[in-house]
Amino acid sequence: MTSLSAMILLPLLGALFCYQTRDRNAVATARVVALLSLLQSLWALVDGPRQPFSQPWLPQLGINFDLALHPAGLAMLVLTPLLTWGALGLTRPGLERRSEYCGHLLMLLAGLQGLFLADNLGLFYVFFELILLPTLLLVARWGGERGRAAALKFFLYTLMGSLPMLLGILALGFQTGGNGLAFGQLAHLPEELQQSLFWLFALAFLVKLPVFPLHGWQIDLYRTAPAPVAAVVAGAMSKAGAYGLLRVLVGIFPEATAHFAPVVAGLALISILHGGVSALGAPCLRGVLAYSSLSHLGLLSLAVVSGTGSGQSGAILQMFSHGICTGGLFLVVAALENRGFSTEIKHLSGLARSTPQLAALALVLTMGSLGCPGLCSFPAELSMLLGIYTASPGLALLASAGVVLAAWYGLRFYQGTFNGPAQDGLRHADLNESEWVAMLPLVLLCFGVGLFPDLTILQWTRALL
Amino acid sequence: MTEGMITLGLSAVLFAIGSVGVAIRRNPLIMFMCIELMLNSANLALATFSRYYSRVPETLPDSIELASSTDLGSATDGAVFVFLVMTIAAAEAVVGLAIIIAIFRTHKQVDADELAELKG
Amino acid sequence: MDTIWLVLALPLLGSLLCATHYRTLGKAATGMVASLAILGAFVASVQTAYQVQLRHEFTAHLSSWLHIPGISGLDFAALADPLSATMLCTVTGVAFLIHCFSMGYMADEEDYGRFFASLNLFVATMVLLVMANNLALMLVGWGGVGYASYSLIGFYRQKPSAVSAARKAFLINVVGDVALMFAIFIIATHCSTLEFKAFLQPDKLDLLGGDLILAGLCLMVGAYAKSAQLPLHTWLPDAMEGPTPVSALIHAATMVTAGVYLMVRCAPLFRFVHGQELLPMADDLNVIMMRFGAATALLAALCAIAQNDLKRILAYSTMSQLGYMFMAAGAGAYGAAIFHLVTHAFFKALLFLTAGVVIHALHGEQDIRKMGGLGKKMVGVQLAFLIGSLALAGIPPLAGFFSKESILLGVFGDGKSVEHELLWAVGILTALLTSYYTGRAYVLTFWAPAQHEGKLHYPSSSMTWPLAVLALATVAAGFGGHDLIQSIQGQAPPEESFGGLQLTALAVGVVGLGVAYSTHRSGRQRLVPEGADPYLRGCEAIDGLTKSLAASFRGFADKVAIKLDPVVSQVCPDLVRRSMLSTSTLLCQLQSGSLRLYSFTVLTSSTLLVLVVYFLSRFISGGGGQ
Repeated sequence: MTSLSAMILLPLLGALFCYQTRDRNAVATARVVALLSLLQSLWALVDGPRQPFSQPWLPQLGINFDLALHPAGLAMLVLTPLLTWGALGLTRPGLERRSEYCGHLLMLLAGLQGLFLADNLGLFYVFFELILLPTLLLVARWGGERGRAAALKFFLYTLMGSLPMLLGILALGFQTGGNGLAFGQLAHLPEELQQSLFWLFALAFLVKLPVFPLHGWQIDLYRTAPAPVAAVVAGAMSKAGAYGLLRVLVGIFPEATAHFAPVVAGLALISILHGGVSALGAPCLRGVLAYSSLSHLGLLSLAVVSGTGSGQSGAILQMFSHGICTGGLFLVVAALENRGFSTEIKHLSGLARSTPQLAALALVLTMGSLGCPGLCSFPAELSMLLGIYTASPGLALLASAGVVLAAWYGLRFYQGTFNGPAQDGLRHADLNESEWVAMLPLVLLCFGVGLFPDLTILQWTRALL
Repeated sequence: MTEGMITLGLSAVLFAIGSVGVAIRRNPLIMFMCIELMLNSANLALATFSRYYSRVPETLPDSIELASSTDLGSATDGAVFVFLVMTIAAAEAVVGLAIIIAIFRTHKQVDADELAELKG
Repeated sequence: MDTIWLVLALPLLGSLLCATHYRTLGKAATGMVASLAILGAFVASVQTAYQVQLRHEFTAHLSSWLHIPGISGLDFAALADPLSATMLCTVTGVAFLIHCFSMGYMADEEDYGRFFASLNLFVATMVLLVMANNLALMLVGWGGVGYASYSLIGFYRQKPSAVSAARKAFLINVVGDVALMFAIFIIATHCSTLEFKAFLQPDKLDLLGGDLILAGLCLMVGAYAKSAQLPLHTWLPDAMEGPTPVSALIHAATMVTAGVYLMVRCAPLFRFVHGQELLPMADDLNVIMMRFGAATALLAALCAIAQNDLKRILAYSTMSQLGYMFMAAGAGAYGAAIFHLVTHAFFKALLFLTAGVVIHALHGEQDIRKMGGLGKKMVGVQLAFLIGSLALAGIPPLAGFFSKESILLGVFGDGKSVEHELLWAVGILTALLTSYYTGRAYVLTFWAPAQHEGKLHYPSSSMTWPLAVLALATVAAGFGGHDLIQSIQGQAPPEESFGGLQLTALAVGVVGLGVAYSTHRSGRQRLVPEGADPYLRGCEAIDGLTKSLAASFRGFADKVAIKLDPVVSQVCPDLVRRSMLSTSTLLCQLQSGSLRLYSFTVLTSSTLLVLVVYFLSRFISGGGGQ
């Protein structure tokens, strides 16, 4: 029950079980599974380092079923079940075919847990591709009339990125001989090999994150997916790209990353600024969140390729913080949509009067997202910008423009929705119990990680650095 | 110009005529006849090789020189192949003509340009 | 555990209680819980100050806060020294009185839970800012205070003007936060530590090298954003949208003084002497600080003359007095700056709260031209405002005189530098203007002929006793100044006999008040002609500039989001899709279904293939040998 493979098996079996249940029990069942998965991850944290799990799978290709706890993935192992728990709590009442919906969400959880546990490059690739399928199904079927097009676009973009990665893995497998593709075995590759294979891998992660020119899928997906699904996608699935940057690009190809860093940094910087400005102008709440995600993950990529310890430890903290804040904000959007509000900012105003508790949670999450000191993103941004500054002060200055823009569009998000004259005659119910239980852990973590980052997250990353 | 070469030249000419005919003519029956022409030209070439370029020297006129007796195949090789080709041609003609009759029954005309239902 | 942590913990607890249980507590009890929390914090601050006196300074360490490889000093630790003890006592003391005042003032407010929770949260973050022993933790308090200010300015969250004022304040604060972050980066990369006591040593400051100026500038930009100095001052007048107790607490007594606190805390950085001679460039920072301080003081005072809203006059007055404090810091008279900070906290809070009582009495009227005649009807209030005004104008024996005096003396220095004398003259001119506009506000509000009709809404006793305490403090604080300056500065202030400089300042104060009284007693509203208004309101010109810049940037952002981004996210992938479709259509023409085309294709391609193979084999074998 507590072993590493069980962390993947539990949500998987839970998903299969969910497909069989009736619609009215599906959400409750899935929530139980998500809670158990969260407890598993917490136990893994508390228990400390343990024996990695290893089973031969395709020994000729060097792909084995290796699982291990790695500092960069530890935080995500906790965050993903938490976001799934939140997403399930905010399911739209009256959603059709709920058992399939919950089953797909649990499959996504299983895939993500596997991705963050994988210790073998080939296995990592398998899970990287595996998480596409439930997302595709979730968006295509429950995403409204434009869901299918958005899902297809997402699928093709990601595939365009990850097929070169498959080529790279095969090439790597041939080059390293029969040693296998475990991450530990792949250290100290010769520099010419690193440079020739770098872009094959980098493309996959840059599409997944995404960064500037490759973000076309993101805006469509975040606009059409059901908001709880978007929370999990934005909060956890995009971090698969960040995790890949850290473990594959920096872990296996460090010299090539340093060599190509200016290009990646340039793309990341453009993402930061373009995302920030677009979020300021986006007409709907989901658009603001999508572009804000582009901007924040651009900052994360910039910090990772800066090549400094503080940049990388900040990036790991940011993976967690951004997941909490952006995932939480998508859950807020879900709460608004469940009450029948439109998400166009020009139609919203003064909702704090009718739903003050939702407003309070949204305020904390918005402040967290824009990096208000005392909340979770602040130590992350401080570390990241310090790392970027150490590498290049000019880049840090440009990146900090992203911080100011984040405050501006964050306030636009919150004030445009909750402040201002209240609309007459609108009396909607405030948060109910299941919504509270879904969103409160995120808010508490937002404060906790902000006030005591070292006690919570960063002690795990010291092993990495 | 030896006899072998003349015969091979005749075979090539027949093949060319047959292939151009397949490409140009629209009536499937004519196309079939051209295909048969091509097959027969192949037969002719095979027979030529069997007669003039095989290992049995007593049938050759004196002016022919052989590079080495082991370079060439036996005379029966080409002849056997001729039989095979003829069999295939016959079978193919049967099947093809049956298809054309079936098409004629449904479409009331046979014209290769009109029969374009396999368009992609 | 040291009692200093109680100063932080009690307001936090109070805030949490008020936020979650205000309904069960009810209005009165919520206010009381909040006020008691601050009272507890005040008692703990006094205890800490006492401990500081006994032990000199000490650090209370709780846990490690953030771990960044290569940087030390990022702990959750508090530094207790005379500076922080003074600030803690001032902040918690004034905050307690304002909490008590608010219980009466905000008695009609529905959202009292949110109000008291935000007020307590503000005190908690301000206290964190002041007691932090390293720059990073201080930045946590800095940002927290910015948030608290945002939530309190925008307290009436359905009023669009309040909402946009809150946004403006927050955004300018974020700019300051970013500047402070850059100061952190510079100091961290050079000195490898962010602890105040560690990096403010000469050997560490030496490591900064040329970046010392940059670090100092970043610190100054951060301080200017927080303390509403030129050119980052535009948020302060608009911040008057918040309830009056908020203006009193945050925008007069405590939050805006955080910038001054930072300058005094980092004094060694600004005073760093490299080797034996004064680093020429470091001195420039102090000169810039003095000049900006003087400019702000003067321009804000000019603007205050042209205002008619009582709260705005006080807001510009705050800006002006903060300019004085920065001038003092630039001149090296840090003790004087802190002394003025403390006295200013008392008399400005007094003035704001009294203004609140007046506005409350007149049912929300804030224009002084429509007030008048209150002197006989509200004697206590009038007396309180008088004391505050006299202090602001710098009349002895009130505290304002002593603190302003010490600043002006510090700026004048030893009289050797022309620049210093010029700045002193600016200070004197500003004092003249200060006493004039203060007098105008006082006279038009209380002694001019009444412009209003209707019944006055008299304040309850819960609103009057804090005023009394503050008035008393204003009177008494002057006499503790000498010791305060000594403890902060580390050396005794220069012994001054009652010489020419003091006489000038005193004269200026009296003259300004006299002019105001004689002009406005009759009800005349303006001394300065209308035409001078645009020149006086120079401060507001920057506001207009930033507003139009912000608006055009928003328009640009709209265009990017609606026109530019779709080009990348929709049009380009669409182009790819369409080109693939058209290529596919093109190639499909090969599959025409025409038998003749197929057979032709087969024949030609097989012929070509045979030829190619033949010639290739000839080529290869021909190249190989024979």
